[in-house]
Amino acid sequence: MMTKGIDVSQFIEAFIQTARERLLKLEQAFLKLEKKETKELVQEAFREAHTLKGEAKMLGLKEISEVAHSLENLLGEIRDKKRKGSETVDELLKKLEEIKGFINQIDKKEIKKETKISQQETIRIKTGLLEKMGNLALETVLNLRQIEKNNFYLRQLLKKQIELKKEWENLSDFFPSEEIQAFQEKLFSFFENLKKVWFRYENTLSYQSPITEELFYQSISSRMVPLSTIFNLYSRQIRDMAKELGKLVDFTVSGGEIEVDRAIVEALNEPLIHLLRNALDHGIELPLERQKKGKPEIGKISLKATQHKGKITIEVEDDGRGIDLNKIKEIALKHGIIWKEREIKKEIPLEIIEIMSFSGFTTCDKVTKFSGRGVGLDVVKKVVEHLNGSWRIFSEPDKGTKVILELPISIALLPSLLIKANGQLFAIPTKWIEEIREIKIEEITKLQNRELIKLNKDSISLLDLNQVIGFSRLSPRPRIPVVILRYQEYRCAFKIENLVDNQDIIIKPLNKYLKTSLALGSSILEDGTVAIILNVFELVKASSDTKYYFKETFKPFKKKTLKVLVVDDALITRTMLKNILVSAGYEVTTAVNGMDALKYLAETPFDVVVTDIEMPKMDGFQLTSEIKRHPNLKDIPVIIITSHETEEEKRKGLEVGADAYLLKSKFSQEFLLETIERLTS
Amino acid sequence: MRENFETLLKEAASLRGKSVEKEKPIVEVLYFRLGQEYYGIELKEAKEIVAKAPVYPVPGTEEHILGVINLRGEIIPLIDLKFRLNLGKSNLEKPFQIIVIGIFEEPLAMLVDVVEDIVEVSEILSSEESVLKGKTQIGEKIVGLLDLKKIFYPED
Repeated sequence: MMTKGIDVSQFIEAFIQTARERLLKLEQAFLKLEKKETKELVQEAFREAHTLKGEAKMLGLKEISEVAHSLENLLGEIRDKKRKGSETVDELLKKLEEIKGFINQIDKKEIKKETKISQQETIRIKTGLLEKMGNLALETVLNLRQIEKNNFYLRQLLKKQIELKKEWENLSDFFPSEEIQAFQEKLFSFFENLKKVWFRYENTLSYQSPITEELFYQSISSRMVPLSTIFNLYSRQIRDMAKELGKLVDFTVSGGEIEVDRAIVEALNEPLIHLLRNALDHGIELPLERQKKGKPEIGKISLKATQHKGKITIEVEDDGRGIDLNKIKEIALKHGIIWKEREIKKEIPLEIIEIMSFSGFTTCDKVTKFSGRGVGLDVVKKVVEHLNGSWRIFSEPDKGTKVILELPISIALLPSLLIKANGQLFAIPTKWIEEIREIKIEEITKLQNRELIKLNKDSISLLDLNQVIGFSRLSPRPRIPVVILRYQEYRCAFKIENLVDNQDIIIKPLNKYLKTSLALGSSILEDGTVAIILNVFELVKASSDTKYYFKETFKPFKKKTLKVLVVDDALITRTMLKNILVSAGYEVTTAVNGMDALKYLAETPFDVVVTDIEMPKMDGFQLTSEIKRHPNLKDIPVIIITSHETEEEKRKGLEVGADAYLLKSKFSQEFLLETIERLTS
Repeated sequence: MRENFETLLKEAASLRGKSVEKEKPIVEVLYFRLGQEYYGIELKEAKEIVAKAPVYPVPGTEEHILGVINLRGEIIPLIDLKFRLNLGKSNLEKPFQIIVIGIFEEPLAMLVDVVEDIVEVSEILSSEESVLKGKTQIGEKIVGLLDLKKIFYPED
């Protein structure tokens, strides 16, 4: 395979799927061509063949790319009127059959791999749709719970009729009369009817409950995928990277069979890549250094997932040099962050993790190709917080580092405490709540400007939740409800305006436009009210001594992430390039053709454009010349990646102003990254 | 082929905001009142007009964000257009209407006092103000046409 560092096998399945679609399109086009030859038809077919060739090339499928290339040649000749389309159709169709044959061969190999996992028939379904249906199923369940609650009240009410009947009978003994007798009959028969209808109602409800519960479990399980979907990608990456760095490493993976919510698996991919890269690049020493330290030459990195009571724990561990806290201190002080001296055993305290997770923070003096580009722990932190999980880091000099992520298995439902602040509903995930209680005003002691309460033997800070989340202070009351939150070793008590209820809620992500770290998401309750879900981590941080330093002091530190625009009409190439660039720390936007790219360029400034040549609407040459002609865009470096290999094409590329011209057949991850680095520095 | 290329370049140029054609197009404008002033947007930029709805403030957000609204199960941020245009702060206790904008990746909404009308406009005068695409006259009112990108994403 020509590509290095990134596992192409993950793309094969997608390739088979899209290639078949392309073949179908080509076949249709050829059949039309037989009847009537038009310029558009030939051009369209040419482009399909060309894209197919490019994709096959990227994946190292030589046979397919060769046949596709000959298809392209034939179509080119038809386009240039050197051949008649109608007379070439047979030949074209024969080529298609050849490609089909190759694809079927690959597919069989793929199937062999897959059959071990599942024999079930599958169809492709839009993930958005699946998610929507899942959420509807959840809402149905929650609604049913509400109905059941109401039914319980109804039952209580109906029980009351027995008492009422008795009372009535006693009373009517005192006032015997025909009218009363008649009324009693009416009343009693009404009670009977009410009871009958209720019985029927409860009967249907008792059928509905198990069905809905089943719907709930099925919809949850339809969102589950095994962790191996991402875990399997890493072995190859680690191996190639170790080679490049001249390190020896034994990488072990376990727990890939554990099934987790698809959204969690997807979100975890990026943080795990960063953690593993850190382990290899910053953790594991060179063999010689390891020898000197008396360690085995071959370093160890392990990725381990375990499952326990609705939670998964993921550990990334290495036996490298460990985290150099002095270095962190040095960098922190240099940037004006207050450093609290303390004795650190194995576990790195939360505040230090916070400092390390600022984007741009790196202890590595030399930026290598793989890490130290200023992304890493900040990504881990963001993802972990958003998934409502927690993380810890353990490290010992020369013994190694262990990062433990603890996450929920499903993010569909979040058990929460609903509270009111400023009359508005908010949700606090219950997993962080240590205790809920009511305190008397006399229990509060004051120390300087801070309020404290005693909890068992400890004194802990007492804050006003309303104030922390930006409302005005609570007015003093003799008895105040208090929620005690715990995040790792940090504990803090919050005064609450009103406690409302415990409820399982469905998380709806908040629009990115809101840019807040205090809220994790939102939830719509049965009556349509919106409850904002609070980020407990941020709340607890508000109490710690480190509180406001970060926002103000860290700004100059932030290194700008470079923005790359990737332009390619082929999904596979686009995704591969994106993966490569994202894991190298770039922010990547993708466009499907030149026109689309110009739209993005008009909206946001980019630092580099990476483009294919052959694309519908506007090709890479036109795009490049448009960029180079535009006064505001002309300084953006443009890299052309293509399968056009002739000198003439290359000359044309450089003529329109491309800054670099890379060939797909000689494509390598390193070369692309080096080129980008060279052009942007 | 040559023709095709020309139209592509024209399309490209118009994407960058340069109009190649000289003809004045007719634009449908949705205009509304904000305090004493009138502003409008192109009708095609609006997704929906919503009556006064409960607004839920979100902690930790910037000052021009009033909170979120629940539009049939979709949670949409609501911005205080008045505040954004330096016309003071909106009062959520008073009557208001909401315009949902559909041109960005995710739907966003803005609060206005009252939606006046939808009219066809052909004459658009240039304006010095950076958040405006231009100005136009509707009856006796001068209406500022908002550049929504600059209103919602000024930093880009």
